[in-house]
Amino acid sequence: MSDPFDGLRSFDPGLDPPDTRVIRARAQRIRRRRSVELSAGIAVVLAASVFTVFVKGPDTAERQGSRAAPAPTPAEQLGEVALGEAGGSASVAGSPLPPGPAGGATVTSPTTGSVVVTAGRTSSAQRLRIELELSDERATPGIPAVFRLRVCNDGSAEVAVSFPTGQRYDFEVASGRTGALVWRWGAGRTFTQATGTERFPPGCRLVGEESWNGTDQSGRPVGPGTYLVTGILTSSEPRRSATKTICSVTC
Amino acid sequence: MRFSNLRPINPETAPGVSYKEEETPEAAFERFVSERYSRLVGAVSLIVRERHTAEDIVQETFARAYLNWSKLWPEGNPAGWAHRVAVNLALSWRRRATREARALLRLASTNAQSFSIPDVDLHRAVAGLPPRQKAAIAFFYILDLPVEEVAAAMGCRPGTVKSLLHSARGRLRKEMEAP
Repeated sequence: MSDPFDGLRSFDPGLDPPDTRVIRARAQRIRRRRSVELSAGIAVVLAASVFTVFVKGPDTAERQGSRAAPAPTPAEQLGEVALGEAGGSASVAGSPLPPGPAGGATVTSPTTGSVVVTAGRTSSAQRLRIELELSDERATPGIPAVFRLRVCNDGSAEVAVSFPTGQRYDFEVASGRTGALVWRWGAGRTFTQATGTERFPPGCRLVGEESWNGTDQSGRPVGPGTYLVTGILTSSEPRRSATKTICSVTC
Repeated sequence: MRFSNLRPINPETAPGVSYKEEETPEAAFERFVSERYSRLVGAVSLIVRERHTAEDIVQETFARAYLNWSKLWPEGNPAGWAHRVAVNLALSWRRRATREARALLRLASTNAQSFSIPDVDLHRAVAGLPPRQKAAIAFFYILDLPVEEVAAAMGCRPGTVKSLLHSARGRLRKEMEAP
């Protein structure tokens, strides 16, 4: 009896492989994401300990040592997917905080009264909106498009946000057709490895403004079509703006 | 990323990557991607039934392979590793896809966003298989892997793969014989 699936043996979509630079860029993003997850997990453990010491006293902290925040999620889990990254999906609303350890970690500083957000979902973090503004919806050759990133604190109290490095923001441009990242402002730049904190009082504050001249990471003009722009607050738990579309030459 | 092992591949210890004397790790990775990309996308597309998702899964697979390349090459099995990651990502995607997305995929079974197998009856029959049968079919026929490697990729026993293939063949024969 013939094998009914023999017709599949010659099946080959005949696709050209992507430039390995795209693969390598994606690998860097995976590594950064794992590093942030690990840092966030460690930060939660430390924050929980600090919170316990400040609020409940050292004896309670020792008794509750075994009930501290759970260990960080393992960096690599086969089968756990983070697809559609880097603007691959054209979301309408700003993306929520990535899932983190339950309970989050919010500590109110006894000296300044500001709320320090280090990880997890908290009401303070949710009061921060990340807004992306484009100078133009069309990228014209020779005229750079300007991207502006604003952080808006919709609450009534100052919110402090921690950063793992000197970088405060980033901008990404991805192909609207494939979702593949074509340009990132921060690529190839060096930032100080010192952690830091930024304070956001109520209201909006411009945190970054950069221009894009319609080229990919290697300086070549991108092809005509729709591209997806995302602004990122590169805090310890990165926050992404809503994705906006920009048209290169023709759409 | 630093590649410190700049020595020739031993074809006996590096299955899945063809031998090229004194190849650098970067060149080996580029060739690995170039040789495997299209058919792996074809195989994954059989499982997820959507071209862009299949390409995204395969690119994610190769990105993870790049992060682990110093362990996989020259003395590991990068192809086997990539197959295992790709099938896990594809089956995981299937589990997570919403009911609405699956319904849309069923309605758009011949849309431009999926690859069409030239034989329309075969295309339709494969589309109706359960995900694990599709995975076994995809890796056995499209990637031309032996049962043992399909089993390693799917994380099950060879007997299970044989059972999946047998069930899929039986189902297809029944459909083709139906009036």
